Amino acid sequence: MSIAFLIKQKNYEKIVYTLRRHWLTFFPAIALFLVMMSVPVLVYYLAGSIFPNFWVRPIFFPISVVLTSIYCLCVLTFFFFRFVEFYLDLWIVTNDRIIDIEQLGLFSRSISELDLFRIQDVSSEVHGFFPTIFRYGNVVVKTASSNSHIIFRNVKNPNGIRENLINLSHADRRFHIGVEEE
Amino acid sequence: MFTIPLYVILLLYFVCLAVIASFYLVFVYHLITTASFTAISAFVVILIFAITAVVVYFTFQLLAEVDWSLLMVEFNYSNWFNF
Repeated sequence: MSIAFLIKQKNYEKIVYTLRRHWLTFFPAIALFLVMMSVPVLVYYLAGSIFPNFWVRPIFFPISVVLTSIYCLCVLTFFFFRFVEFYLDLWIVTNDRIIDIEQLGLFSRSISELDLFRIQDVSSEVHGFFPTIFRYGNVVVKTASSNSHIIFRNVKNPNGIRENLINLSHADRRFHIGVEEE
Repeated sequence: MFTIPLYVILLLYFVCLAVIASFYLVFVYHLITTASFTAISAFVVILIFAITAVVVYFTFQLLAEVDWSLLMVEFNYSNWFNF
């Protein structure tokens, strides 16, 4: 499925940005995955040194192999889940609107839209050591309505996106004013 | 006499494999239906599938010599009522 089909792209609409979180924000999940996958290796060597005859027993060996395998598969499934959750958060900016797609768990999704000409305020935030070094942060898009705002979380180059969003918003507002006057 | 043979563990393992496979299918379905099946996600999916295949392969390699007819737990409850 393409993004154009997903957002039901209009014929005059052009996709300007397809934004996902910065890859570095997924690094803790990778580190956790590596640590959890190394646990069976540590346990194997520890059990081998503390109880040298542990693996010789005909019952314990198959049980421990099956349990270790299940553990590794569960860690892999958890890692896959974290990746899907990370990768399915998506912000699409077109020359007409912003579409915010958020994956909340495995079976929950929220999709919200905002017309560019309704944008009142756009701000970008870069907080912390890694965001400053790798230039990623949040972009907060607000409308006149107090309860309607979209946050692009941990996206690359938030300042550039903010500037472009303001320009796109001005262009869309001019277009809508022109349409209303006609 | 009530016994639990070792192959019960193997059956449980197959159940776990089925559950994990269904989760994988749901994840891939999500990636495809949300226009997120890109080169990066395809790489991650292939990597996870490859690691899973390696884990399952080595599990069966290690379990190849196991005698599954062994008894894991044995309850001789006929003795419980002999006072």
